[in-house]
Amino acid sequence: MTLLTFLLCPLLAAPNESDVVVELQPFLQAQCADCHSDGADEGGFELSSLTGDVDDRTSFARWQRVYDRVHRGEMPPEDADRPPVDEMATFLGELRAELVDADRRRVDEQGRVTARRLNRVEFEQTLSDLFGRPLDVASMLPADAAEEGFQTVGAALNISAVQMRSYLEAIDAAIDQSIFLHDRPEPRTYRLSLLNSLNYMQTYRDQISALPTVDGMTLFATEAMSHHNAVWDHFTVPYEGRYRITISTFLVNSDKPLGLTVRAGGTGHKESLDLPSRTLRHLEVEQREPRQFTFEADLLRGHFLHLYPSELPKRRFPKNGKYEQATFDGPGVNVQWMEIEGPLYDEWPPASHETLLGGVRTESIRGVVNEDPNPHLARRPLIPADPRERQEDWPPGGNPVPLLAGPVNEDAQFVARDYSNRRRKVVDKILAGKHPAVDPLPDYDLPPGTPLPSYGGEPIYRGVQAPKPIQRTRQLAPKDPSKDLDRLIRSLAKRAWRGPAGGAEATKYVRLAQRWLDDGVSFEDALRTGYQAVLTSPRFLYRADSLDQDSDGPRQLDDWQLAERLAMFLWNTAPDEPLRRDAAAGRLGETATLNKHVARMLRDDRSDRFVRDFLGQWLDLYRIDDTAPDLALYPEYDPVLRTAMVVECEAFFRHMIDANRPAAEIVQSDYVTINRRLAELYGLEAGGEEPSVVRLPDDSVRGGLLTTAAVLKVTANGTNTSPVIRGKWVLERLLGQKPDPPPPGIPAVEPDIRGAVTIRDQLEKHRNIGNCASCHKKIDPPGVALESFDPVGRYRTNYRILRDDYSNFDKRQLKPRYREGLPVDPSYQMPDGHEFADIRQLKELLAEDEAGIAHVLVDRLITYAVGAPPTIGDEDAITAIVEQSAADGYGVRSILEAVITSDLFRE
Amino acid sequence: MPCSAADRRPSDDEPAEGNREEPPARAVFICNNLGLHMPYFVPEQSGEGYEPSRYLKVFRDELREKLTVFSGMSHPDVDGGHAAEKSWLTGAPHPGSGSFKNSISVDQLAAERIGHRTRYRSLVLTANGTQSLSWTRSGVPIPGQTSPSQVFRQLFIDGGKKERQEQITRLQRGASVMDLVLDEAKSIRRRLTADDRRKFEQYTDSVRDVEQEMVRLQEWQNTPKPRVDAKSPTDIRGQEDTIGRSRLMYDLVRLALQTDQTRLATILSVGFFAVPPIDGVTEGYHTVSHHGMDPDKLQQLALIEMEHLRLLADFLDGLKSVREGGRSLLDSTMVLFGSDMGNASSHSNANLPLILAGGGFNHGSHVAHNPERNAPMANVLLSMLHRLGIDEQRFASSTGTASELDVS
Repeated sequence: MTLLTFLLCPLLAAPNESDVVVELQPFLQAQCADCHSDGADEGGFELSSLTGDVDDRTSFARWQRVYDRVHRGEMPPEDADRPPVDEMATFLGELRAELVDADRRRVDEQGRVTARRLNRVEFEQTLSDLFGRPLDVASMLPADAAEEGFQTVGAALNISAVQMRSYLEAIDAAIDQSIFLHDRPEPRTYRLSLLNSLNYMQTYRDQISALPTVDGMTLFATEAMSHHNAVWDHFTVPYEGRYRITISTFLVNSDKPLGLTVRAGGTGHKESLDLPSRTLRHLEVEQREPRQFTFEADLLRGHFLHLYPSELPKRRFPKNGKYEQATFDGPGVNVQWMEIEGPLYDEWPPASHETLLGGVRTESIRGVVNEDPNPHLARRPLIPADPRERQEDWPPGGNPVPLLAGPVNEDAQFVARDYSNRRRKVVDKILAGKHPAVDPLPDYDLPPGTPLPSYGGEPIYRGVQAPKPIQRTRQLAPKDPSKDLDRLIRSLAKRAWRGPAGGAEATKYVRLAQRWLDDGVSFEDALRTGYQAVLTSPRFLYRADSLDQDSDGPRQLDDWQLAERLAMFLWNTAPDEPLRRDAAAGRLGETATLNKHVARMLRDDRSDRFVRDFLGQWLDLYRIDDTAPDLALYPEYDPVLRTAMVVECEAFFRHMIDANRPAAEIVQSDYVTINRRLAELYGLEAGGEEPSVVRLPDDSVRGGLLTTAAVLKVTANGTNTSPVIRGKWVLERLLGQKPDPPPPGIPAVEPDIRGAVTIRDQLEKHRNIGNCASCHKKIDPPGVALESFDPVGRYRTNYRILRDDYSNFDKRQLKPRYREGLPVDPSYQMPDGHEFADIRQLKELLAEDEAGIAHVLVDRLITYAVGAPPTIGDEDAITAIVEQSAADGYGVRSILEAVITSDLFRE
Repeated sequence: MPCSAADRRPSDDEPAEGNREEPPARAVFICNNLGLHMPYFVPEQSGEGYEPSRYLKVFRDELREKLTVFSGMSHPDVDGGHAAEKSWLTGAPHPGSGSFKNSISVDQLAAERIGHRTRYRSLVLTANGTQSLSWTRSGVPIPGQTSPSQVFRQLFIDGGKKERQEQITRLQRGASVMDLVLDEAKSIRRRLTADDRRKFEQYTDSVRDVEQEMVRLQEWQNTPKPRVDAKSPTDIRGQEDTIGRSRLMYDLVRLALQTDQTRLATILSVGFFAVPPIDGVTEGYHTVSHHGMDPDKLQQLALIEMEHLRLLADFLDGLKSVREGGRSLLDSTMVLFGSDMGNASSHSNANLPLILAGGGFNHGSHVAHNPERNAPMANVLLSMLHRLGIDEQRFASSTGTASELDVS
C-alpha cells in the first residue's frame, strides 16, 4: 500500500488491498461517508468495517452487501443526493468485477460446496435403498438446519457428538427393522365391523356421532372423541408388512362426495402412540350404493386402524336419553365393513434380510411362539354379505333401521342384552328373507350377565394391548462365521460407499468385526459392529461430491461424484447400477450420456422424491402442519383438504416437468392440477381423490403455484394473514429477492383480530416510519394482492371475524361462528409505480418477466442440488442456463436438463 | 427422597475427603423465548428492599431474598429478534445474519470442565420447540431432549442385568467403531482442501467425543442409578400446553440435581401460535406477545407469564426444601431464568428480563443497569462460571463479573 492511498482513505487501512478496491474509494467517500463513517453507523453499517481484502469471507460478504444495496437502488437513499448515473455504473461495474474474480478464485481453490454429510432425508432413503426396505429412522436423528431455505446446503449441515450417537442408534434400529428371524407369518383375512366395538355400541353410544345399522355403522362426524373411535373390532396389526385393505362404504344423506380417511396409529391410539402415525388414504365416497375400495398399505405391528369422514365437522350428540342419532338427517358415511388381508410378502425372508444376512445358516429355536394379538377374532365368522347384490332402494327407507333407538339405559348389562335380543330378531328375519338386509352379523361377544364397565371407563382397551415385539423363532448358526463376516461386510461396503473403490477399503472393517468375533462376541454382534462402522464411516455419511481434493486441477467432479450428485438430486439416494456402470466406464460426463440418464431418472417413480423434497423445502410444504387453522373461522379446513393442497403443488410441478411447461407458470397458468376437494374450495369442477389438470376460466384468480392453497396456507399463521409475511415469502422464494431484516425497535404489524382496522391501513402507517419504505414498497405489493386469500387458501372479498357472541355458541349447533368483516382491498402498486387492481393483474405483471422467473428457479435448483447457494460469480453461468432454455419457452424440463449439464452442477 | 452425595460415584478428581462436606455447585439455565412484559416485571426501585412489581409478587418475600433481579442487561451485538435465542447462552454476535457462526454455550463450557464428575455431563432439555440453548465448541447446536418420560428413564431406570450387559456391549462396540472410523476420517481429511478440511473437522471432533463419552459411560454401567419416589412423567403432546410441558422438565431437573446425576441443565421453552390452556386466554401465545400495548392482549399475556413465573417459584421452593449438608439444594444451585427477548412485541433484544436465584450468592436486590446503555449479560454468566469453580477470565462479551452478587 502506498502512502498516498493511506492518506486518501484512512478508513480502509488494511493489507492486501487490490487496486480496484482502492479505486472505489472516491465514490465511497463521496456517496456513503456522511451516514456510514466517522462514528456514524446508520443501519449498523460503517465503512471502516470494509477491508479491502475481498478474499476474506466476512469482508467479501460486506462488499457484496454494498454491491447489492447500491445495485438495487436502495443506496444511497432517495432523499440523499444521488450520484450521476455513469459514476454509479462505473462503481458497480468495477466492484462487481472484483467480486466475481474473488468468487472464482474461491471456487477454484476450495471447491463449490463445503464438505457435507447426508441430511436426514438422504440418510433414510439411501439406507432404505441399500437395505431393500422402507426404513423408519429419520425421526431418530436431530432435525437438520437449513440455509438459504434448503436443508441440503453444506454450510448448515453440521455434525455433533449427539448427531454421531444418533447415527449409531439409527443404524442399529435400521438393522433391527431389516432382519427377519421368525417363521413366515401366514397371511390371514379379517373382516371387521364397528358393530363389534363396545364403545360404539354401548359405552359412549349415547354421545358418539355414529348410528349402528343392520350391517354397518353410519359415521356423522370427523374424529371427535377419536380415542373412542380407535378400535375396529379391537384389531391390531399382527406383523409388520404390506396389507391389502378393502372397505365397503356408501354415502348417507349427502349428494356431495365425502372423504373417508383411513389412518394407522397416531393420536387417540393409546397403545400405538409410539408407532409413527400414517394417513393411508382419503377415500372418495361418492355414491349411495355400497362400493368397495381396495388398496395396499405398509403397516407396523401394533398399529390400530382408524376410519372417519374427516370432511364432516366435529360433533357430539347430547346425552339426554333421546338418542337423536336415530333421527339425525345430516350427512354421513356408512362403513359396512373393513377387510384386511396380510401380511403379504413377495419373498421370505424379505430382501432386506438377504442384504444383511444372506447365506447365513439359521436353525429353529424350540418352543418360541409369537402370540396372536387378535385371538378374539380367531373364531368369529366372516360376514358373508356381498353388498353388490343389494336391492335397488339402498339403504332401505332412507336412514337405515335404527336398531338401538330408544332411551339409553345406564345399566350397560341391560343394553348389551337388549342389543343382543333385538339384533337376533333382525338377524332371524334377515335369514328368513323377511328383512332387506342380508348380513347375518356375528352376535355380541359377551354372554348376558357379564358386567360391563360403566360410562367413563375405557373398556375399549380391555384386552387390547400393544403386542409384544416379535420374538425370534430362528437363530443364526453360521457354518463358518469368519467367512460369512468377510463376505457380508465387504458386500455391504461395496454398495454403501458410493465411490469407485467399492469394497477394497473394507479390509479394516472386516478385521474389526473379526476381532470382536475372536473376543468371543456373538456372530451377530460382531457383524453389527462391522456394519455400524461401514455406515458411520465418512465414506457413507459424507457426500463424495462435496469432498474437494486438495489439488491444482480444475474443480470438475469426477464421474463418480457426478453420479452421486445426480442420484441424490433426482432420487435422494445413492447411484443405481446403470449410473455406476457409466461412471466406472468414465463416460457419464458426456452430455449425451448424462441426458440419457436424466430422462431415464425423471421417468422413474423415484423422481417423485425430488418433487416432494424440493417443493417441501422451496415452497415450505414440509411446514404445512406448522399452524392449525382456527376452525371457528375457517371450518373449510380438514385433513382431506390438507392432503389435497400438498398433492396439488406436487402434481403441478410434476406436470411442469413432464410437459416442459414454462417456468412463468410458477406465478401464472391457465390450468390447475386439483382433485374434487380442492375444486370445491376453488369453486371449480373436478372429481376424485387424484388430481387432474383442469382448465381455468379466463377471469380465475387461480393458476400458478403462487395462488395454490398450500402456498397460501404456509404463508399464513392459521388465524390471519399478514401482507408482510406473505410478501416477504413471495419475494424470497419466487422472485429471488432477499429483503433486509427489519431494523430493531420497530413494532411489528399484527392483524387486528377484532376487525376494526384492516391490516392494510396499519401497514400504511408502518410504511411511513423511518426508512421502512425502501423495503416495504417491494414486500407489500404481492402481500397486499394475496390478501384476497384467507389462511386456508379460500378466495375472499371480506375478512372473517368471530361473532361477538362466539363464546355462547353451542358447539353442537355447528352454525358459522364468524361473520363477514371489513372488505379486502387487494389493489396496490408495484415498486415501479405500475398499478394493479387485484391478484389477477399482479400475476400478469409478474409473469411478464419470464426469464427472471426462470432465473430464480435455476438458482433454487442449483442451491438444492449442489448444496451451495450460487454467488455473484455464478450469475453469468445462471443466465446462460436460462438462455439455453429460452428456445423451449423456459420449459421446466429444459431448465432441469440445462442445470444438470451446466458447469455449476459439475463443479 | 433418599439420595444426594451418597449416590455419587467417586471419581479421580473429586475433592479430597476432608472437603466432602461442601456440596457441589450446580447451574440451571432457563429461557422462555417470548420474554416477559417488562413494565409488569421490573421493579421501580433498585437495590435492596425494592417494592415487588406485579410479576415479582409471585415470589414470597422469603424466596425473593434468595434471588436477584437484573434489568438493563443484554448481549452486545446480539440482535435478530427470535434468532437471538441461539446466542442467549453463548453471546455470539448477530445470530440473525447469514454468516452467523455460534460459539460454545456457557453450560457446555462448564460441562467440558466438570461434566465428567457426574453420570451425565449435562441435561439439554427443550420443553417446547426443537432447538435448545446449548451449543458445542464448534458452534453446532445440541438438539434438546423433548420427551420427559425418556429423560426420566435415562436418569432413573436401570435395566436388568442382561440389559446392562447389552448396554456395555453397545458402548464398547460404539467406542471401537468410532476408533476405526476416526482413523479412516484422518486419512480422508488429509487430502481435502483447506475449507473442506475445516468443516470436516466437525466429524473427527464428534467421533472423538463419542468415543470418549462411551468409554466414560461404560464405567458408570456398573453403578446403579439412584432410586426416586417420583413416578415416570407422562409426556404432553401438542405444543399448546407450554406451562404443563415446562413443569415436567423443571421437575426432572430438580430430581436430577438432587440425585447428582448431573450438575448442569438448560431448559428452553418456546411460545407458539397455539392457545395455551389457561383460563382467560383465548389467543395464541405468540400472538398475544405481539400485543402492541392492546390492553386485552396484555391481559392475556400477563396470565401466561404469571404462570411461567409461578412455575419458577415452585421450582425454587422445591430446591429449597431439599436439604444437603446443612444447607438447602437451592444454596448450591444457581438458577438463571430469563429470555433472549427484551420486548417480544417489537422483537427487541435489549433490556432482557433476568433473574438469578440460589447458588449461595448475595441476593435480595434489584440490580438496575442503564436501559439506554445496557451492561453485558455475560458478566452474570461469568460469575456463574466462577461459582462452578471454572476460572475463566472472560466469557463471550463479559467485561467483568456481576460484582453485586459477591458475598461481602
